[in-house]
Amino acid sequence: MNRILSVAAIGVACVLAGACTGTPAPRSVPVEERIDPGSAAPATGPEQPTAPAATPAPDQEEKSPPAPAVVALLAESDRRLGSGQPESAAASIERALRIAPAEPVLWYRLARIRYRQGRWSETETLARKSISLSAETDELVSANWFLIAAARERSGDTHGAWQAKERASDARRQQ
Amino acid sequence: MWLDVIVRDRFEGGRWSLPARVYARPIELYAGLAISPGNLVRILRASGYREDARADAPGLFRSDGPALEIFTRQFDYWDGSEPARRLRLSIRDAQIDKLVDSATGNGLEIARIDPPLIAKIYPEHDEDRVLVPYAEVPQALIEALMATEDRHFYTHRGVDLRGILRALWVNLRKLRIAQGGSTLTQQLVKNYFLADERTFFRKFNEIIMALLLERRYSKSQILGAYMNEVYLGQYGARSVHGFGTAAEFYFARPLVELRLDQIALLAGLVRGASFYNPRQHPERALARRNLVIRLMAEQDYISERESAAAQVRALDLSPYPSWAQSRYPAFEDLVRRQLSQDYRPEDLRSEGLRIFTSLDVSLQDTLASVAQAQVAALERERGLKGGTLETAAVLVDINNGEVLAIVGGRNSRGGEFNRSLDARRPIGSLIKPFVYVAALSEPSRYNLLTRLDDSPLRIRQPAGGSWSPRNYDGEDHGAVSLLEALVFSYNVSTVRLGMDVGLDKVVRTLRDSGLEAHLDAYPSLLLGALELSPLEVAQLYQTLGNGGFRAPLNSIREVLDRNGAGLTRYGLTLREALDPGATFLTAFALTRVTTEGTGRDLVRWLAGVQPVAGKTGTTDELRDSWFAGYGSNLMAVVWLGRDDNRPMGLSGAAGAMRIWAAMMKAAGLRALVLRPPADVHWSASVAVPYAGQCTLFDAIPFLSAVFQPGATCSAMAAARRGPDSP
Repeated sequence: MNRILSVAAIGVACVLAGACTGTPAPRSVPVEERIDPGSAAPATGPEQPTAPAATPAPDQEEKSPPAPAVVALLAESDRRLGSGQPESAAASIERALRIAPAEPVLWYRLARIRYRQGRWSETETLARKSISLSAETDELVSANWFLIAAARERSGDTHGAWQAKERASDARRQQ
Repeated sequence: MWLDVIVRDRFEGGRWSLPARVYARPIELYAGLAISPGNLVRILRASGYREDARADAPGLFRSDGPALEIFTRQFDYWDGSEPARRLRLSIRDAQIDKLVDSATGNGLEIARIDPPLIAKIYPEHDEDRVLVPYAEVPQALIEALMATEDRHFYTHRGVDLRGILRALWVNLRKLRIAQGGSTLTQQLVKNYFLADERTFFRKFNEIIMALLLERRYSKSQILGAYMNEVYLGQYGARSVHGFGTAAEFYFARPLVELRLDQIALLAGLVRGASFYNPRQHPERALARRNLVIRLMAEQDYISERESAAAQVRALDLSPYPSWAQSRYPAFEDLVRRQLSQDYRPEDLRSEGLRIFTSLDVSLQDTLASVAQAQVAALERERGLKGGTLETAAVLVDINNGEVLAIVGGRNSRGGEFNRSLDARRPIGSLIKPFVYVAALSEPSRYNLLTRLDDSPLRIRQPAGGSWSPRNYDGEDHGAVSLLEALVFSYNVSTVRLGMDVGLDKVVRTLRDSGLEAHLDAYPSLLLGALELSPLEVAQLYQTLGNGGFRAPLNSIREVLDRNGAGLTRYGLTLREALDPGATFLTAFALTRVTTEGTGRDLVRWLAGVQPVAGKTGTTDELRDSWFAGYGSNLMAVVWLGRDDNRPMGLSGAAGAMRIWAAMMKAAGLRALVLRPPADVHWSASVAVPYAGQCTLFDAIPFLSAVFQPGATCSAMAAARRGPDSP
């Protein structure tokens, strides 16, 4: 009886954790791969809906190096920010974003520019956008949280700033 | 003297009224850009680039299959000037492989091609003008004018006595004004001030004013004014003034890029722009041009050899310009409306503003031709009379909200009803994803497997009576999961869900997604009893498709003044609008719509681009057919229906989705990349009732760590998992 219970307990725990079936951990689904209709296992009947393949966790996504164009525009943005032209710096980032909209570094840099311009709520939104595109273990995540903390601090949300710093430390530990 | 005052006032005080110039987006060249050689050439031509074997001056290119050499023009963008540059590129596997600066041989990271001019916003009197500073007037043009119009311009005092006497003699003999004998100065005066009667009195005034002009102003000032004032053509109600404008109108290039024969053509137009119109009367224009060339040779401005070479050239006109015939009326309409929020009409018309937009001419042309072809095909298949159906579409860059293309109707004609902005139709099931986002934002109450009751429902109306929504297929599906209800677009369970969540929360979700239109918060709202334009729908789906981050739809990037100084920049702005977790779950469901749900044909039509999120929409009695969907780069909304709002027999999937698929395939839609936010947990594989079958899913996303399977067909699942699993 005990054995059955413990097996059941493990079963429940496994199901809860979603991590112990024979299926592999969710893997990347790059653009080229098709979802194989045969992977579904419907019970009966002719018109079978297909079951979806697992969708990826961000940290396992393929990351290719950024295009030279993006690197060049990032450098241009830095130069402009350095010479006191934040709006022009933002324009460079926006050009880069049209080329690589899923590159979290670009969103982070844009967030930093808005921070420089004292636009606190935009800073936070852009930083969150950057986080949403980053792998959990990416150091960008903590950098973004620190930036959010700073923006909250400046806009008078001290408690929120502290919370953001906690998130930043958590993220640091995962790196 | 009164005339003196007029002369001075006009010459000094009056600035020319310049139309505002509206540009499409500049194409950015970089290694990795997906483009075909044909497409690139098309875009170059749209910006007035000409194919040339040597490509050794700005505005020229040379193409050799996959290899191109382009000499870009210098251009002032909002964020700085990009110099003229000669570059080489090669295209392989449908993308730019290498980009090199020809001068240095070094790799070039990125280069912009000056954008195509797509429209102008005209001054009061419909004058069109491209100002050319005197210093930039080609010498050959001055010489051509001297040779034909006013040989002694530089020496006379405003009137050429010999010319006048000769003309007077001719006129007296004919007892009317037949010959002008006018100097350039007089012509300038005529253009500036005087009405179009050719009387002796007018002539007399003209002479006086010309003399006055010459006394006050230098030859170059007068010539400079002349260059920008002389009448050189017409399109519709609009008049072309000045050589800069004429160069753009007839040759789609700046004046400085014209060849000798082209300059001679323009100089010849001075005598009679309509009579010698090269598009209407090519033989006359050619004869006149060659006369000008010969006169130039006679007076030793050019050699005999140059003269001979120039005379044998064909007319070589550019196609009738897109901005002269309102080629993109729907988009132009959108731009004007956005501008009117920040600029007065007078400023738009006269200050020579330079407006940089988000339009992608290549995508626009593609969408327009797809719309036309697909609507005609649908009519044929349904046995409908040609011209019965109409359509509208909006294509948006999902990551920044920029409007890439707009289709206002199947034929994209100017002056007609702009359906993409003004046709407000009930959106039907397109509203459902927002009901589900509202629900899923409360993970303690709802998840994708929560059971909903799809059995018949009756709602009492406040005004009395009741409303019984019915499913599209008329069926009662009993107990269904949230996922299934959205994927298969069940009406009854959606209404129950929406009432449970609360209409106010659904409305808030819509508002947060960018809905500004007035709405009535009745239960029927949950089934899309809300009339919106395709553009308004596009704003909602942009937010949904961008992970809940709303970027306001935008058609204008920057506005500069006539000198190139920045006035306004409409930069990228994001607002966190929807709960990212709820948005993700909804997107997950919407990718199933296109594989097994109401839009299941889409996956086939897109031939390998998967996953793609989408939603079909069909209104009562099949009056409106909608489809809204997105991938990782593009989002589009398509509407199909009849202008008279009668039923037309096509559902969202059968009508609008077909058009959407054809458009997106041609536009290069890329598959969606689903990135779960940190608070998303995945279930293990689970078997659930789904569309009448017990279906095994590899994994389903949840926002709560507590896995609530709702209904599982567990026996089947256990049997499938086999002996080794727990």
